[in-house]
Amino acid sequence: MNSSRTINTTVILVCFLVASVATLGSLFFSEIMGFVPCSMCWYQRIFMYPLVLIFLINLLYPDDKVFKYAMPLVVTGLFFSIYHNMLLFDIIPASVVPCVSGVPCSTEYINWFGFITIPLLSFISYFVIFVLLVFGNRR
Amino acid sequence: MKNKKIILFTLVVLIAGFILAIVSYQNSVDSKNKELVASKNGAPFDRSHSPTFGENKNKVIITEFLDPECESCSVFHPIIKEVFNDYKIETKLVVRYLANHKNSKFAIRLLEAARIQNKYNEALDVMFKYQSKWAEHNNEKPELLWKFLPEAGLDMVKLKSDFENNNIDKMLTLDRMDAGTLGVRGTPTFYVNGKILRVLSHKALLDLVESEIYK
Repeated sequence: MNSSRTINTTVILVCFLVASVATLGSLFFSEIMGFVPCSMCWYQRIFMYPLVLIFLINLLYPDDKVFKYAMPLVVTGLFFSIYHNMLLFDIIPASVVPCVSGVPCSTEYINWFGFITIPLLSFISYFVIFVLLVFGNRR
Repeated sequence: MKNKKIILFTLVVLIAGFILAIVSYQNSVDSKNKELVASKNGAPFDRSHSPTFGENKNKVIITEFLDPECESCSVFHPIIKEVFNDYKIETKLVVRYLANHKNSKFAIRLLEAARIQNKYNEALDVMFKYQSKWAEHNNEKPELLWKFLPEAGLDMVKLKSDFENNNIDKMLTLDRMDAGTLGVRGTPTFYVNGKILRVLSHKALLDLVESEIYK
């Protein structure tokens, strides 16, 4: 039983940076630019925001448990972001998703370079953190 | 120890970057609005179809995006009334509509009908006074407005026929379009000579209006 593997501090620092930029970025979109988040975006936010604090606490007080605490949030958020992106790429019909906050989840607020949308940014953030945690944990 | 310094540094950079992004975004919006004020003959802030009040001696245009069914508009109504009353010679108040609620359009049509009788402000006062009754969430009773509006001193027969004849679709579309140009989504939103009111308070509104009058 050698389950107590410590993830490299640099890896956690990068995870912390990705989560922080995703959090501040989403707050910038909604609070400063006034984009109303759809319900899918809310679920992705819910699982991203606590990651900032989890990684920060682990950086300040390193232990070997961060993988256990962070991974459930990352996987859940990753699931929502994959779902949301499939919706945007028309892999899943949009009518399946109920949107209560009045904004359809297929609304595209930004489209940089013709393909970068907010849900794609969310997916990239979750995916990077996921990969970093998995490989950081293996070593 | 070295780790904690790096973490502190990272935190400072993140927060500073965030604040910098906010400031530069707001500055770019402000300068874009300044260009709009200068270039487009008043629009998107002022349109000829909109209800306007005041004598505008000092060329200060207060634009309000309003929805008679919006609760915050109702709460802010006494404040804008008070500030505008003090400066109705110097300024012009332009009311633009954003019909964001279920019966907003119905209420706006009534308002516009009342405007024909020169009882616009009286009608708006009555709508806000009884807003909790006719616009209660999930229990809206817009037809109650017919019962409340006589209080505004309106000729109800004329109101009814003006209500049935007026078509406000074009007006609402233009107002919505201008709101889109400015990035306005919620009500109430105020601009004074194209400068957005960032904090919805009596003091902030008064400061902004006075800074434009006495500049």
